[in-house]
Amino acid sequence: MEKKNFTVTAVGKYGLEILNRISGLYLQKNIPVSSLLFTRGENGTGSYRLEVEAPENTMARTILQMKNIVDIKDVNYYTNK
Amino acid sequence: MKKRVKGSEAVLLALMQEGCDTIFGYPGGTIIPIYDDLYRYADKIKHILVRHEQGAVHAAEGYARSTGKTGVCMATSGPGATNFVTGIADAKLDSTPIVCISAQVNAEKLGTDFFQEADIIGITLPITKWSHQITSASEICETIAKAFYIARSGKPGPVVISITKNAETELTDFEYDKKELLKEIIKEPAMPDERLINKAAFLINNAEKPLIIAGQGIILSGAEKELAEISGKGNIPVATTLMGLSAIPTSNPMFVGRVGMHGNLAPNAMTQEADVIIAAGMRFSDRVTGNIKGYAPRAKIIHIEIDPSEIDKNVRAYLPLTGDVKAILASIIPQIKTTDRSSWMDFAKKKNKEEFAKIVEPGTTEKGCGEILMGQVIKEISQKSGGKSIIVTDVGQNQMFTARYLSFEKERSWITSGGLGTMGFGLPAAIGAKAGNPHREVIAIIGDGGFQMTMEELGTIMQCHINIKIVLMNNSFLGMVRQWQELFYDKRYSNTELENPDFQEIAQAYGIRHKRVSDCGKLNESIDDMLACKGPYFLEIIVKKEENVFPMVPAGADLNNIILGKTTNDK
Repeated sequence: MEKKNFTVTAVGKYGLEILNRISGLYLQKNIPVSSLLFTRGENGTGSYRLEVEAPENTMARTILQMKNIVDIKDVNYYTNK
Repeated sequence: MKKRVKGSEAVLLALMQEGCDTIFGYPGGTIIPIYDDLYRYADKIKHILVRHEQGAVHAAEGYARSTGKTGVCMATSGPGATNFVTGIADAKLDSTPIVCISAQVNAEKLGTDFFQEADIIGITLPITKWSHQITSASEICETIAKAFYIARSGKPGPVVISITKNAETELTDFEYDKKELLKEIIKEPAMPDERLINKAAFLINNAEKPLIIAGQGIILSGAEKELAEISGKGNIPVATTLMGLSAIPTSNPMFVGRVGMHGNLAPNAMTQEADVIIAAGMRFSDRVTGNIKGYAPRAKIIHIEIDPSEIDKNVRAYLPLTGDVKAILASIIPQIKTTDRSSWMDFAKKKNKEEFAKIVEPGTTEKGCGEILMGQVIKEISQKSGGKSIIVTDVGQNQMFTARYLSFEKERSWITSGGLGTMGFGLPAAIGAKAGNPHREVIAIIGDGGFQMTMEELGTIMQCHINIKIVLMNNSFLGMVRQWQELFYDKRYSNTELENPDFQEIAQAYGIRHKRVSDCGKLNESIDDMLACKGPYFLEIIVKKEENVFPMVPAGADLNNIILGKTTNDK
């Protein structure tokens, strides 16, 4: 399966434990992460942005699992052209 | 109404608000404040003092799985908390709602390698549904309310709460308004679009060979009635997964057996023949599918599942229906037409007959009263318990033989470690099941390997007067690994033979009535004696040393390559 570069963005509660849950998911699935940006927003919110390389179907499944993280509100991803 | 209390008392008050009546736990330095308050609340919350924290988690799992409530376990910081880990992983893979509370060193000492400090939140992040470290007493109510809601909502799972010692001893205002506490996280359950429901009904009504595969999701959502109804109305055969056992009575005429690696011949063959599969609350584990490429080649799969990330994860769904299985089945049922599918059921009967002749009959009847067979033991227990007892197994051959030969008539009667396959699960889980169901018979069926992993819990049985029946099927082997070594590693029995202690003396030491039986002629009366005993009982059955569980789909093989016995494999 051809690997592509993706940008993943997630928003939810701000917290290191959430960052750890996200990075742990990519670690468990052995998906390389080339960059990770973690920002604190207003009212306790946080945004998470990752640059990753993975096959498209793996990415789709991983996004669904990210959405399962309790304090994550929304996740999106797109291919980097 | 607000009440000014210490954090330790707030924990107990919050647990009571959540309906917790039993805690499985083990005290230690940092959790003493909570145990001190527990002393005062002993008439409201029962505490079962286990002998190892792993036992506390498995007991909480057994309690949760048998009652449908959330199990609670408690331990001190450091080793107390880390001993939780296997149980938490087990609960994660088997979607068991439990709340694990461990104490922690003072907040100001965190990260200083303080005595009995371990980062339990960090350690358990990959195996929990949610976790939170409380560092101030004011967080207690919200955290516990969230923990219970998260553990049992959606796809259930384990939650860990770590509470620092200062939070236990600080004063806080206790006010438990659940609606207010949960306002930010409560979600309405998703329900598929009506068009998808109609499409599912259309597919089912037009199928010649439909098959329902019922997983544990049926039990978790309480959809047993809907399952029987859709099956009965449409004449649709039902198979279950290992975790789905007891979702439908085995006496139901539409029940065709269990799918998977050591499942029955009929449902595995039907999976390969079916034109529509209704996968209800199951996740297509590798133990169910075998080689995914060759799985259900003719079937359009309707996958009913609460967790969207399970859809298309292992097997591609033709029609995914995401939501609560009970609600989805209920919305499909009115559209189901009664269709004659007798020839499809005849196929199941033919396969069942073949399995009976080749495996069941020889596997449950020892001619000439020689060695006792495991299948024979389970058949006898099944007949005598009438399918009404709660059966808890350990992992390995004891588990697979029990799954094969036991009958179930009542829901929530089957408790086993499916996903993680945790040896040592059986004994403590049976303790939890009995604590949650004092009026039901609980029988633990365990092998000699797994028993020795958590047999210290005999102490819990003794001290807390837990009236369970323990059946130890002793073959002095790690039987399932030995079976693989025999079938796939040319009988090289590397480190699977066990030299065991005298289990009778161990039971005696714990004051538990006990008996050993090795004569097949005495099996029947030994089981009668066990079931007639008013208190806990330990029945050790010396079974045939080298027995194999068949049928068997070798790991990674197609379901078509099911092995019915050694001779098939030798070809």
